Amino acid sequence: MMRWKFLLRRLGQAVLTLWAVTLLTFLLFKALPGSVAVGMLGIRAGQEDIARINQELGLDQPVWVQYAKYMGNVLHGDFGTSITYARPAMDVILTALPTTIFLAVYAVLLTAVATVVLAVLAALRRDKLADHIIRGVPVIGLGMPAFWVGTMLLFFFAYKLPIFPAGGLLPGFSGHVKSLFLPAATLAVLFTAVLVRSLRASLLEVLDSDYVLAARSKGLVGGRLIVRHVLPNAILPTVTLLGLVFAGLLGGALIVESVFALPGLGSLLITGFQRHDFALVQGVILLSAAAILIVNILIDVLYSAIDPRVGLG
Amino acid sequence: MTTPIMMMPPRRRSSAFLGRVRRSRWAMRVGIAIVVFYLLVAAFAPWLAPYDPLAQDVMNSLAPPSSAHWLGTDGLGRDLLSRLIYGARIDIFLGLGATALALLIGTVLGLLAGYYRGWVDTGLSRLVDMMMAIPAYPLLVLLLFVLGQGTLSIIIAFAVTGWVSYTRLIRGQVLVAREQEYIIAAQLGALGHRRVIVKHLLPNVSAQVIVLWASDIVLAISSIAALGYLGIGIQAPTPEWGVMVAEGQDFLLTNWLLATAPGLVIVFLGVGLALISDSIAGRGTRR
Repeated sequence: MMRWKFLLRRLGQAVLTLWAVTLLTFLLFKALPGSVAVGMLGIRAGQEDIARINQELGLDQPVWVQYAKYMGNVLHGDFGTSITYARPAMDVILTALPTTIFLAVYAVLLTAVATVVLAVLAALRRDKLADHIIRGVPVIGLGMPAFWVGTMLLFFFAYKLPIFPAGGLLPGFSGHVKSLFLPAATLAVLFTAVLVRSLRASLLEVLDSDYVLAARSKGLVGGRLIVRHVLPNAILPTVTLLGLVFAGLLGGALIVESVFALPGLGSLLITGFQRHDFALVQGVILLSAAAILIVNILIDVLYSAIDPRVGLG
Repeated sequence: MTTPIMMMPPRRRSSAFLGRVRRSRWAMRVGIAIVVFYLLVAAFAPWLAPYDPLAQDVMNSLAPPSSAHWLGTDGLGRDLLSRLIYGARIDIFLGLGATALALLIGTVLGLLAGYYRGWVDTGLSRLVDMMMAIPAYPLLVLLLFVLGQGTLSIIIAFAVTGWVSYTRLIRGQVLVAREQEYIIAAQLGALGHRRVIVKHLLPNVSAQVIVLWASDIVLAISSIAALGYLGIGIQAPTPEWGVMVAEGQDFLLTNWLLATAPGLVIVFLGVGLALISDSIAGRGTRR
């Protein structure tokens, strides 16, 4: 019962936030310097043409009428027509969406594996060489720009050692796995650097605890101890961090897509930006805000699944 | 992999603690040295750079490193080293400007929300919650789209997206601090609210804020470079580090230094700032 109430409340908050985002984008576009009609027709456009376009787009009506119409359209999943692709922006976005989702999930998986392996290694070899090296990673990693890490991986693993394709997206699942490896690895490098320190710290705390001592005195050692007793208790703070990281992950994915020439949301955002394609830019932004809100709710649910003490309250 | 419990050496907390302090002082010095080096390079760029960063020498393009051009030249024959040096001016100025404005706005709002509570706090907290839900990077792109490209637009866009984390941090700290004796004493001493906030609250919440600022500068510089790389931030002829990586990417196979060097320059600056913020953060706390 509690669970449903909690979920409903979180969903309500998410819907409110999304509405605020739509209002913000609408107002920002209203504040855009220069008129849309002049942008579409060019600077030499005649008065009648400008009036005609304004009427067609409903720009001659009061702002609140425009807003009501806009909200109505957005609620129907209609972000307007992309002037770059001459198709509904929603269509264009839905074609690009799977690539970005695939990339994001891939990156989360690689990040999770790398973080757990490195943090466990560091915690078990506390104050040894491996620990020092792993603790140094965040210091370097936090300053590394995603586009540059991507470029370097491209250089080493696509040009110098041609293991992976140098950009572009191969069809099919195995093609995706292969061609999205370097982009996902780029993101994983950056996010592992953020997460590994937190997981190491909580692993050390748990390793010092009485119940791990008890488990050890029963004769539990090695993998089983770590997997069954230490990790589940140490991973919570990192899972919350993962939620914060996801927003960054989406932003990172948008950048990495440009480096590897992937047909995802990030490429659409850049194209839309350069072509002054309002519908496209706005659609991508609304959709990514929605994705982040949904993921944050999912992480709260996951949180309480990992730790039964955390109620969904 | 694991050592059985009996064989684990006893942990020496005190010496480990001393080691941490020593290490942190050392880290602090190296970090400050790196950052000061960058600031000096930025300040004295015209005297340090051997060439004009925009001067093209097409006959001598893509030259390998030599005594005339220490790091070689790019696709238009411009001296890579000079462009890196002038890049320090652009990226560091933008990084500092963008984060300083966010810091200023965020600090003022955080102090107000935490100190006065009431409707100011409620309103600001709702706004902060909303801003946290909007993905920063698309919002940044949206703002640049609306404000137009240029230095001032970039600074404003970063301030609009960046103030939230400062407000959150400071509000939390102030909520704790305002219940402490020294603040209550200051209030009982009939000092004005403004004086209590500026002279008594602010100094006591500033350490955490500086830690956040240092890491924020790193993120801002790498985001500014990312925008330059994508072609929606600083524009092409300007020697901005991200723009330079984008230009160098076409010559990865023949002149790998062109794309590699600007990134390394960013990473190294990031290390300097991370060392500083880490050692300030590690000073008060145990871990």
